[in-house]
Amino acid sequence: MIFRGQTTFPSCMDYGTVGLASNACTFGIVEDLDQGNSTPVPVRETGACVTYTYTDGFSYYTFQILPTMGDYHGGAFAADAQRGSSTLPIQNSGSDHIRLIDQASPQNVWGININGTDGNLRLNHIAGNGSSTETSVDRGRPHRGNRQLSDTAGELRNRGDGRRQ
Amino acid sequence: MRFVVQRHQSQLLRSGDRHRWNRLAAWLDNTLPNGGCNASLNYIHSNAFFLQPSDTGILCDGCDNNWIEHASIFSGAGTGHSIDFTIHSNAGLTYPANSNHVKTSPPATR
Repeated sequence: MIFRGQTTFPSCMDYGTVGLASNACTFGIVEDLDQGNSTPVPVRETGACVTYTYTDGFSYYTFQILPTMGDYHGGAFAADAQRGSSTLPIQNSGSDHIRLIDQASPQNVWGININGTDGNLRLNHIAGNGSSTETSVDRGRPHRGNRQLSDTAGELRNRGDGRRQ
Repeated sequence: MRFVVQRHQSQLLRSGDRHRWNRLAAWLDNTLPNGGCNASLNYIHSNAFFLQPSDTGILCDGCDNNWIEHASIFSGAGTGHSIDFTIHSNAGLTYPANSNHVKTSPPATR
């Protein structure tokens, strides 16, 4: 299957910009693609849009507008009440909201969460190796706290040990 | 083989077309200044398209809101696509094939 876009029709407009309007690139939905039998994935030309699912329920190129995530019904509903203008409220009842996991062996795992005991925001190392780093500091873009230091000349640099020079 | 097409605006799919291109959505009236491409709201159920090598199964030329279900679609040894959801262009305007839904069971290939 092929969903035509700007590769074939350069004048069509990106679906993400104009949606279902005329002059947009094509948009479609494919459901229950078979994983076996050398089934190729749908071709998605630039500017076009297709969302598809496999027979095992895995989804590709799905778009969600203003979702809410939680680990139980009531918690998710309560999180939605705190949405404000955010895109994604995430609730967790076990101080384990988000985990970032790479492909290393052993896998490196970091968590970003709120400590349910004291309310602190945590960046915690869970498994594997590595340290929290601030590569932006090396590029003259230092981390700024609430009490900002003047750094218009970019002279503040991280020493590499968590302290400033 | 069961084959059902509900006509709402236009359809050119027939069971006998399965060996060649099927054009679902030909909007060919150049006199219209604008307007959507048609062949919309068709429902194709349990059809099988056995195609010649390199052929495309269905050319969905600017068609909208069609539902193709239980479609076993493959294109033989060719490299063509089972369905080409292409854009209809006319007088400098483009009319995309939008909101078409394909549910493939048994699986579609190509």
